Amino acid sequence: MNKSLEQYIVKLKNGDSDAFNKIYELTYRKIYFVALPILRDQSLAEDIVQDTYLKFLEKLYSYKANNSQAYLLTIARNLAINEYNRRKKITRNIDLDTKTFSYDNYLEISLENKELIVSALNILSIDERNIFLLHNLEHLTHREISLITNKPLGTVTWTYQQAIKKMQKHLKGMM
Amino acid sequence: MKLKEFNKILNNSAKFNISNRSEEISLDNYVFQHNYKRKNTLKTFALTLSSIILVLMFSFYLYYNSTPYVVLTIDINPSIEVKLNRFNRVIEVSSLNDDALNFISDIDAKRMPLNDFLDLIYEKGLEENYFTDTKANALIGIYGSTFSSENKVLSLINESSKINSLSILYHSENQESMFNIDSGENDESVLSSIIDYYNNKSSEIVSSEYGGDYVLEVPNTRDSIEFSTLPVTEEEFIDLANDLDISITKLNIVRFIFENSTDYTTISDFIELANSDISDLIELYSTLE
Repeated sequence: MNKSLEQYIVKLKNGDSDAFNKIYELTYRKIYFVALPILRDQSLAEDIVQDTYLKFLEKLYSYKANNSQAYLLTIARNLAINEYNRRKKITRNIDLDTKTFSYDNYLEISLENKELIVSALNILSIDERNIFLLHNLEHLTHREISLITNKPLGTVTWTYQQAIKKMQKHLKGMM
Repeated sequence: MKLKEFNKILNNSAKFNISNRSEEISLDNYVFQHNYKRKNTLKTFALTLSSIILVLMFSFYLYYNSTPYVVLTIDINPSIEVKLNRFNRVIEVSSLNDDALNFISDIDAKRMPLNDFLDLIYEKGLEENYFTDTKANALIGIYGSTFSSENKVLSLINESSKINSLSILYHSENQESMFNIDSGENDESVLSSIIDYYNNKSSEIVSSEYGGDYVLEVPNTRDSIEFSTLPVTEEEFIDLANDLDISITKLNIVRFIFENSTDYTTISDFIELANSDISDLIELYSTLE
């Protein structure tokens, strides 16, 4: 996917505006997952997604590296932290502790299977739950999850294995 | 239930509701603006390059403007030395004797074209009575690194009508048509002796400053000084001119007369010649030529 992302960026640099939509589709959800744990607000996270692309476009012609995904996520993280700091000055009682953040709080689940899904997810720790959802629901690779959560790849892989084991054990007794 | 089945249920029943707002971003302000900026980069590069060229040109101009290219000595009894740049403009005027100190004290000739400067010198000479109906002479030395540079200055002097009303004797090292300083066989040894004499005189002056009784005594005959066999270098020649407070052009004509006239034989004669009026020297020169 990264290779095609780089190709779309080259096309965008050459003035192909359709390439931007492709870049957006490939990356906007990942950017959102970077911003959300910091800001813990869906609309603010979506604003950061927009700001990230604007910043990216501003620097488009000066950007020379070849890992655009990491570049975009870094922009997003910095913008989210700046926004967090700006808000912290206004509201002093907010705390940047991503360890207590769980993506499933922002998950929309249909009523039909809500109990099954919630009970299964609840057997996992917060880290396990986050990695499990990003991998199985968002279909992100461990490397991408590592970039989003800012955790080492080995930690992500190991945590995911733990989550799978727990989940399999839990699901075993279910019909 | 297997994990695979759970994942299927999860994917069908749960989602993160993240809106795709790509349409809200207008690329016109970025992509095309940046294309325009790229052109600007080229423009900036061209501007930088032309600025560097301008700075270099200005540096070269400053260098050529302030580096002496031709040195001119003008003797109208005050003896002055004029340094000219490549554009034949005056860089510096200096006095070679006491008369010249007063003569040039109120002259500001920096960057003045040579013709204007010569006119100024002529008018100032008239004003201070250095030129009369019977005596209107000048001795001009032109010393450049090349024949062409001297020739150019010579033609500029010839264009100056005021200075050309004087009877001028030119000297140059590169111009064959001007008077030649090459003279008799003992030429260098005579000059060496005079230089030795002046060197000895300097050391005596120094010793007198430390309590010695110094009386300036000029030897009367050539035999009274020891002739040196060393050749006279350019530096020694210039030093001698400085010791005598005269220009090298005047020293050249003095040397010529001294070598070619039987009337002048002693060092005191040489010094007497060096202290002579320019008009007298030119007259003597024309009788010997």
